[in-house]
Amino acid sequence: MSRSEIIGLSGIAVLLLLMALRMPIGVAMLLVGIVGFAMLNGLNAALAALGTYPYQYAAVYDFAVIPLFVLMGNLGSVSGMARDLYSAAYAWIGHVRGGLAHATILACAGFAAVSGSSVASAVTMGKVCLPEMRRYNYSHRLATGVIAAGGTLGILIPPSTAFVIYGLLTEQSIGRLLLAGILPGLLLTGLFMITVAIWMYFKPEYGPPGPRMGWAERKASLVRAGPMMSIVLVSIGGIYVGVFTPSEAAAIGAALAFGYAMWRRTLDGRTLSTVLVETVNTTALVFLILIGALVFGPFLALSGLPERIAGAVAGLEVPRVVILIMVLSVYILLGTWMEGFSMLVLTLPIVIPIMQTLGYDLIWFGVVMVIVLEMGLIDPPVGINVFIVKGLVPDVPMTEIFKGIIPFWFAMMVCVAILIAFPEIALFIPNSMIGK
Amino acid sequence: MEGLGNTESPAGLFGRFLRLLSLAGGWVLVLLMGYTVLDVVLRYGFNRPFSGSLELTEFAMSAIVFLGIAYCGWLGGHVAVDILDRPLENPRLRFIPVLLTFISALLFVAMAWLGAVEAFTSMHRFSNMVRWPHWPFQLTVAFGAAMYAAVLLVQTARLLRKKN
Repeated sequence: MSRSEIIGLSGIAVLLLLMALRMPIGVAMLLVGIVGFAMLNGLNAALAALGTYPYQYAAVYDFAVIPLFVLMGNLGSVSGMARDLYSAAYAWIGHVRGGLAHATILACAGFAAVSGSSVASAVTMGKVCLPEMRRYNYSHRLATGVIAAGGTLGILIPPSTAFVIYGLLTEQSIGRLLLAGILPGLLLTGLFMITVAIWMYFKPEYGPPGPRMGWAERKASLVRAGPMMSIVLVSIGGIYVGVFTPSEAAAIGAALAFGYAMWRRTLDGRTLSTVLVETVNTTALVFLILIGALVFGPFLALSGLPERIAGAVAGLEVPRVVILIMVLSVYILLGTWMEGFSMLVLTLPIVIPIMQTLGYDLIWFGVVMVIVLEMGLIDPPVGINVFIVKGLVPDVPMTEIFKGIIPFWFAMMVCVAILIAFPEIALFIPNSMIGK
Repeated sequence: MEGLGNTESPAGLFGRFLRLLSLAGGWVLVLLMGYTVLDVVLRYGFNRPFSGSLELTEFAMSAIVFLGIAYCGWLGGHVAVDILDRPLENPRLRFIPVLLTFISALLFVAMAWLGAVEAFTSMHRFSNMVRWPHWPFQLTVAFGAAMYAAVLLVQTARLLRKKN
């Protein structure tokens, strides 16, 4: 092993130590990256990087898609779109066994199309759907499980901050990545609904049916959900037909959500301030990690370690799918204690060269990886969506929530397996994109 | 409000100032949204797009990120792993968070200082299309880093007080 590779390896070890000692992940990556640069390229080069990189990496046109999509999701939250979506899904499907759980999943999938964050989706949909399910005596296990799992659709169905960050760090087209999430998102939504149906078959008492709505009410509910669907169609559809860049699509989506919230009179001065501060906060926390990753990644590349690891892994005499499964298993394990976004930025410099060497499509791998990250959002002990649900229903024990999540976690495993067997599911829409 | 966290009413003058900075970043984002939409409308409606929309977006992004970074830190919003929370509460190990927070503060002091120096030495640099200077935005980045360094120093002091 060369000196630079030893420095790279030590950098990873120190980074993990600093993270375990509660240093903010972005700060830890920045610190290790700069010190690593100093060791490999000299102190002057490292200090020059510290003076120029933060501005250079914040002032990037493509990065504008992040705050704009976050703004769109936050405006969607305050405009009452979530309630309209849930009402529409409830009117059409609420009368079947487990109907409210099905409606929750559909509403989560719909809301995911305006929100790029799983946490925001879980909070918003939890506040809307949980009281209804409790009113109809749904079991705590089913009600909480369905919210925690349904919320994860937020980062799979576009817009998705995870895809944007993955695209920026791996130099893949953000537009293609966002479109690649559509069919797998619908597949996972379907798998979640099948999970509820199977659950209802064995435990019908867990989800009693709601009242059947008339056709007039059903149509009215669709009309109310219309504006939200139009926003999604315009912004995501614009990327598909090549009319907008992802940043433009995000700006147009945010402006439409802004107009809709004004029209619904849900946006007074105080609410707007909260929305803006919340959006800037999310942006700042994402960018601190992103800037850290953009310093740490090149340091690692400079050390030559990722190339060495990729070469060694590719040299293993096993089918490439075995290596893929090994990598995904490591992610699932990491996801049990590490926040998904941090896991993504931390591991990509090493994992991407491996996937490239093995000949996997990086757009497809991004989709699979995001689903694995979603699994980390709901598995014990640090599944963040579980804590969010717990915050909404403090009287339900954590063990009950985790038990409710297990079937959905397996549905996600099935989704990953299907995508490995049929990569076209993820690649069909981006490959048919106009002006790709 | 559905889906939004609690970012209202921070305690203390410094906290309120940081929230104001963050809000200023939010209004820059609204401007960014507005002119991006206008650019699309002008491009498709009148075949007259802005010539410098890309550069304005880049300038705006630097301000949005660094006007918000300190308030996010003030609220404890920057992502950290909390697997060793309980062991670190041990009185004998409490010096570790104090030390690490102080080192983080030093890193951001260095970033602010070097960023400001870079801004002053590149005052002659202008963007290609709109011919705006880079230095005001570089200084905004340096100022944001300095504010986050201040937040980290306050947090170091608080941890020290807790330790004692």
